Amino acid sequence: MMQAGTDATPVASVRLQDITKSFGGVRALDHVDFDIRPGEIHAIVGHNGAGKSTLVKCLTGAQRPDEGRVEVGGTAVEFRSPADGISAGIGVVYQELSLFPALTVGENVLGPRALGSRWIRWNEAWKIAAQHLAAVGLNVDPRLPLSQLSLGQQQMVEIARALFSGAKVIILDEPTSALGLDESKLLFDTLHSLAGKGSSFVLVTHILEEVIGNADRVTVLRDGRLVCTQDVSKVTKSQLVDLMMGTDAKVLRSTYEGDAVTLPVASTAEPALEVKGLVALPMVRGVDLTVRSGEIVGIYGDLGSGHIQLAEAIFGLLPSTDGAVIMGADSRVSRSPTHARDAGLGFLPPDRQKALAADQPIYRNVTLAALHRIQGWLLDAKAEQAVTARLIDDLSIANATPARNVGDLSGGNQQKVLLARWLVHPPKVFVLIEPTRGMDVHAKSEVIRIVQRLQVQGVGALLVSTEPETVLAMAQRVLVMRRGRVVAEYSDCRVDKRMLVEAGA
Amino acid sequence: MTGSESELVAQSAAPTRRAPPSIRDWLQRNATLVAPTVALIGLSALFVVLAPNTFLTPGNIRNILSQTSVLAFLATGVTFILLVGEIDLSVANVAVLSGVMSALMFSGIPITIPLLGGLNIGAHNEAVSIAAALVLGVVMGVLSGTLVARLKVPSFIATLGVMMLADGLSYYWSQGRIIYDLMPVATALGGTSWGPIPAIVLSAAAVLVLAHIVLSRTRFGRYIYMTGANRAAAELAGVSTRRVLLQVFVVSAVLSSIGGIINVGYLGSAEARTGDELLLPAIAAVVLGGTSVFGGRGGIANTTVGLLLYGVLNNGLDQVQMDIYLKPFARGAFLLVAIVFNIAALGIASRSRARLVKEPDDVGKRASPSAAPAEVENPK
Repeated sequence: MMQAGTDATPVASVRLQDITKSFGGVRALDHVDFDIRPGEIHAIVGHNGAGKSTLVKCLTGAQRPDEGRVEVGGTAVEFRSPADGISAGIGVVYQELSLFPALTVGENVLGPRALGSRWIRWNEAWKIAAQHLAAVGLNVDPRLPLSQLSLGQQQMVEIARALFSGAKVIILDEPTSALGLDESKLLFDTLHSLAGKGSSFVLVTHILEEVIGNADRVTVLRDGRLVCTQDVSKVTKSQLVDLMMGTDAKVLRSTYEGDAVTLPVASTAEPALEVKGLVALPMVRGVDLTVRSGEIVGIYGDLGSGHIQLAEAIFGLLPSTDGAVIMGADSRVSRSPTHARDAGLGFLPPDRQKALAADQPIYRNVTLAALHRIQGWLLDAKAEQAVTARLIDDLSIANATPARNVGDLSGGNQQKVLLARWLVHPPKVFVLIEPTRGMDVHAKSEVIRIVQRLQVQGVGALLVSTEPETVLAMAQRVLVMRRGRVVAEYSDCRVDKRMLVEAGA
Repeated sequence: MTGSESELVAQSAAPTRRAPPSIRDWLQRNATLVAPTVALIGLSALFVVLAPNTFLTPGNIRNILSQTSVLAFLATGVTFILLVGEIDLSVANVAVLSGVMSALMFSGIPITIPLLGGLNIGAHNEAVSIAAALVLGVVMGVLSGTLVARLKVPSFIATLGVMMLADGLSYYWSQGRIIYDLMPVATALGGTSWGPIPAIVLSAAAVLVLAHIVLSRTRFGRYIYMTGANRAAAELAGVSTRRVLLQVFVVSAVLSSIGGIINVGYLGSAEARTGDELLLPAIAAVVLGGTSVFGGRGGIANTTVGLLLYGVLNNGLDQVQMDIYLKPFARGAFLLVAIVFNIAALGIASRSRARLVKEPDDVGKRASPSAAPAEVENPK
């Protein structure tokens, strides 16, 4: 482990020392050191839950560390809000851009501060904006509406805005997840030239190739702890994978044989769900797959791989521009979520908050998807509560009674409520996105048990996750997606986390 | 909150390790209904003191109830709309249009439809006149609903347009006429008394009861609440929220049509100029009752209390000695106070729930549900 402060390297522009941050008893960051030097591109890598987001939030002021010290230019500071971070010269470009699509490019670059004087001198404003756009290699008319620019160009606008507002350090959160290869290359060329002029960049990414090709240093986090900070020239991609994984894969030990899982021979049961040439731009670019009855198919990929959007397109949440989703005789399953549900699909979204009505009772959330199957037009709330009570028992949802509000439950138990929703009338194929994310090991294994029980009853499952261990713990056949396509498929072989991560990176 | 919800909340505390639910707990958890009820009692008491000889007489109570009844039809529709988190500005004008149209048809005055010419059916035929007015209501509802649900026009704008359409048609068809030749049904439901109780009060009560059953006991009602509580969640469970939105606008428009036809009987004449002033009172009554404008919370019980509250306020101000020009100001001031009271009650209701959350959790859940962001994963 590299000790910050002991090496005789250039003065760091920002330094985090011994940072600890807990959320409700869970240590998201455990005594982590991190520093950024002027003019460097510093990558942060690690699996989901390694603490990357929390570290970034401590850096920007969005979160206040419980312990530790933040220094900017050698003096200790205390960020109380993101505004403090911005005024200290730390800017962020988020995955989902935070620009104003209806305003012009120039107004987006300059922001309200530059336009805030009593009279706006537009000619001057356009000139300044154009200069800052040119600095990030963007030669567009600042008077164009922002919405006419491509996503990659909009990202440049956001960088230009951060630089204009005085940022010395810019954090990029998964900047290439929505970009094509050409645009990614353009982005990194610009970052290099800006770094040459003294700006620093923190690159948070899942794509290790980008780290190897572009970063100067890399910091590896695992389970909230600092593994190491290294010069990128001294590591290889496969060493990075090792560092991210750790030597022990303790999680869900029972499903592992050492580090690897032996996948069974591919099922030959009746196909329950067939996806043919599905396109949902920009993230899904032509996917074929089949899920058979009683088969659990896992799809691993990083956040930008398009597998989550694939699942959403199958359930009719994203419009698909080409291809077909077929279940039995129905070849237009994905017309709408209602249609997908009635065709026999279940859907567990990645965001629990979005899928539950928090201030409604548990039983109303549980019976919602099957209300038309278990009840007539006149509802019998007692029967609904009885069904719900049985499921609460069955899934051991702690602290729950049917009439209690869902919002009163903990995250893991809310997830079980969502699973219970699809057990009232089991679907033919259950699409699950990140079913165990954010849960502790105990809750995870319970969720796995529930899905495996469904499988025994002949329900097929499509399991989509950015966590290789989740896919390996549950799936019988594993697909890996990258840039909107399936790039690898594993069955009847031994496979480990590393193989998946490497195939997806 | 609906009646069924309050029962359930009472049950919900039982299996936990807390003390059995006390009256205080019940009051806190139902604060959104209790607050307007307290306001209603308080306001009535105030007027009893200020106008001891006139306010609390059977005649005046009858008055309050009948004045409120026309509003009840519109407010019931508005309740459906607010529960899904939308707004309907067209209710009053759709009501006027239906009243005028049915009266015109019944009295044999042709309805001019552009391009098609004069339509003269249903002269002295109640069934046809009423059916035509209700069909027109459905058309207006489908129009609003399609604009909102399918074309994603904000309901404020869509129903503003429909409001103007309905207003325009009422004037165009009636040509400024006042019609006194009314349908016996409208007069019977709106203008007579059944024993001591005005028929219009009974009609309104019937509609309120029916709407309460639909909202609290049917699948459609459940979809309405769930769509309003979290539209994305309802969609993820396969509920066709678009269809729910469309249906809710049709319900609102049809209820307005019925209210409009009965209102003609109550007033004794039909004309395009009267009735459209009911829009804001209808919305105010629903909001006064504690139904949330953001959807998912409230119901007919709230609206009933809100209607009475509005009725008492309006009537009571007429009974007290006060500069007539100051009365609208007093009404506005009271409305604001009552709304602030409701919002405070909402805080009490959610705090009483928050206390429940703090119970010691069982093993296997170390993360606090609310504080831990989604990014905290794989804790070890």
